[in-house]
Amino acid sequence: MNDIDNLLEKYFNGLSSTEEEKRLKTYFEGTGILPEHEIYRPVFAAFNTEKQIKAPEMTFTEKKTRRPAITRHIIILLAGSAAIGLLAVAFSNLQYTRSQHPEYMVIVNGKQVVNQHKAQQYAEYMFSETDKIIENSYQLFREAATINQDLNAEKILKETDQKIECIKTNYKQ
Amino acid sequence: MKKLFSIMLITLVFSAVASAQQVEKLFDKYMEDERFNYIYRKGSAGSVLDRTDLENLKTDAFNIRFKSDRNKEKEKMLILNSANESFQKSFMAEVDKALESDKFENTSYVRNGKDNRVAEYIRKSSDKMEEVRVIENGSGNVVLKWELYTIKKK
Repeated sequence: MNDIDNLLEKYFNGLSSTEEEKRLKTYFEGTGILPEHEIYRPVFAAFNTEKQIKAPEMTFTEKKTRRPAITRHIIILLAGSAAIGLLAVAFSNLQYTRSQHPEYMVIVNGKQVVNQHKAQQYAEYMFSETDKIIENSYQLFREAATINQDLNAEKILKETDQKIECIKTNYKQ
Repeated sequence: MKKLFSIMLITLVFSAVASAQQVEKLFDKYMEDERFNYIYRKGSAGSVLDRTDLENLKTDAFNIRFKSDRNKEKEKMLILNSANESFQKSFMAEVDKALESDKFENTSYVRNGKDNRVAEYIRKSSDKMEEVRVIENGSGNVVLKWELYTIKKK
């Protein structure tokens, strides 16, 4: 299964094509996964959510009004320059921030996931799964606390006293 | 005598500094090991939900960990997926030793079934707090999670 290993390496380095990603997803959705690839199964389970995310479409119902040709050209030119300028600034900041302080770092079986988007998805998924395990372990504490509360002798005696008082009052009447 | 005292003092300081970060050293040691997965996340950045939002979503004991009197700076995990039982044992021995030498306090220990356990360890200073969780099951899986918080000043 050298082929799958190569595809995995390309995938984690962000170099795989859509076709290759499809092949990997089909492989990990199937039943014939080799034991050495089992470790990657949660990764692809997490990445499967990618296809469910769809950007909402936006429609403009506003009526188009035609501006004079010269004004239109100036507006297009200015908007274009502004967009290029903004992109340049944003990109340089992003590059600086990432190189200085990476927000996510994921190393799967000795191989670093270079693609930040995939690293983020993987990290978020794994941290959330771990939190679920920890939360479930605290469930036992909660159950113990409830049992403790139910078996509180003082509470039981108080409730019994109240019941006796209630019976006494009803009997007198 | 003066010289000997200086050497002893330097050695003492050096050994104190060197032994103070044993848990972090474990992460450095195994992060690139093929038997492990290593995951790091900077606490305040990039997550879909802000940690304080989670207070409204979670309840009871779990909620305690997200109380807003502290900010999560960063967290990291080492996940061991090895069928090699003897390696799992030796790794766990290293974890226990590191926690002991870093003077972490064991605050909870949940044992569920024969081989499953979730243990929590905490170490506090005046402005920082570290939490370590160890999740272990008998089939060769160990998760070592480390979180660093800054305690907000009131």
